[in-house]
Amino acid sequence: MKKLLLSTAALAVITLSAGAVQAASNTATADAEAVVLVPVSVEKDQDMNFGSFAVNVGVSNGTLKTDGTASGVQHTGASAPAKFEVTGAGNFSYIFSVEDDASAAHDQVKLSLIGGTGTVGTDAMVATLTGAGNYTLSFGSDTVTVSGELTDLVHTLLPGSYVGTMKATVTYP
Amino acid sequence: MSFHSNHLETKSFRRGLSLVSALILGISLPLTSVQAAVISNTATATASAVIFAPLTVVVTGSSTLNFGKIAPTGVVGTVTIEPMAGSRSASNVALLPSLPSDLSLLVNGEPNETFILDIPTPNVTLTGAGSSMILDLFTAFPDSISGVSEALPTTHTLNVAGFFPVNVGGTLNVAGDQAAGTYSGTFDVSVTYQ
Repeated sequence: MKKLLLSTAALAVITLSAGAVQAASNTATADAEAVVLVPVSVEKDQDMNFGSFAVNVGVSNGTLKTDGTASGVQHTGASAPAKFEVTGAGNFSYIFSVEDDASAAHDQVKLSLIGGTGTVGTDAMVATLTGAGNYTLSFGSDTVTVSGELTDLVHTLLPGSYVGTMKATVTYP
Repeated sequence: MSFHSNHLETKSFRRGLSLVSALILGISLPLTSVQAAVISNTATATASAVIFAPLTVVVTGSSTLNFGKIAPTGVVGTVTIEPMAGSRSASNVALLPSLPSDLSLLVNGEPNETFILDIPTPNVTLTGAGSSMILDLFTAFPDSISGVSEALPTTHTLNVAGFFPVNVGGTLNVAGDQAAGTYSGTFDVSVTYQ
C-alpha cells in the first residue's frame, strides 16, 4: 500500500511537473489555443413578392422589379424584396450567397405557374436576384435584403399564381 | 533507492510526456468535420407573383361617335349625344334627319379586378371644311347614373367574366356660321389596372 501510494504520487509528480524533470535536459513550451466562433446562421425574415401584373399586349421584353419599377407591364398590388436575418460572431465578416433552390443557379430564381409545366415564356419566368456579397456583422447580427427583377416578360404568359423558392447561404470567409 | 526512483521517474516521465504531447497535438489538429457544421447555414424563401389577363378595351358596334347631320342657326350652339341612350339634343343648332350614335366600348381583363378608365384628352378638335369645332366628351357606365357626366379618370370593377361596358357621348360646340362639310377628329380611351 505504502509502495503503491509512493508510485502514484511519483506518477502524478512526473505528469504535472514534466517541466521540472525536463529542466535537466532541454525545455520547450507550446501554447495550445482555439478560437471558437459563434455559429453563423441565417433565417428568412420576409418572402419576395412581385405583386400582381399584366403584360401589355404585344410586349415580349417586359420587366418588373420588387420596388415596383416596371416596363411594358401594368403592375398593381404591393411588392417586396426578400429579407434574411443573419446571426454570428461579433463583428466578423461573412459571405452571403443566394441561388435557385431547385436548379442551384446563382443569383436567380425561377417562378412557375402553380400546376404548370415550368416552361419559361409560357408558364414560367426568371427573376434576377441582387443581394449576394460580403457583409459584416454588427454586434452579432445583420439583415440582408435580396431584391429581384423579372425580365423578358411576354404577353403570352398564362394568367395565374406563380411561385419559386430561393436558398440563401451564409459562411465565414 | 535512488536507482529505483530514477528508473521509475524515467518510465513515468516518458508516459507523462506522451500524455502531454498527445493533449497538445489533439488541440492543434484541425477539427474539419466539426468546423464545417458551425460555419455555414442556409435558409429558403419563396418568390411569388400573380399574372393578370391583359387589360384591353375594344369598340363594339359603331366605331364613331356620330352627331349626324346638323345645321348652324347663326348663333353659337351645341349638339349633345347622350351615352348609353344614344339620343341627340341641341341648343341653337338645327338637327336634320340622320342616324346619330354614341360610342360603345367593352373593357376586358382579369375578373373582379379594378381598373382605371381615362380619356387623356377629353376635349377633341374636329377639323373640316371650316373652322374647327370643339367636342367635350363624357362617359356613362352601368354602375353610374345614366347620362350623368363623371369626372375622369374613374375607377370600376370588372365583372365575374372579366368585362365592363363603357359608353361615350359628348357635346359639340357649333359656331353660328359654321361652314358646311364633314368634320372629324380622334381621341383615345385608356384602361389600366389599379
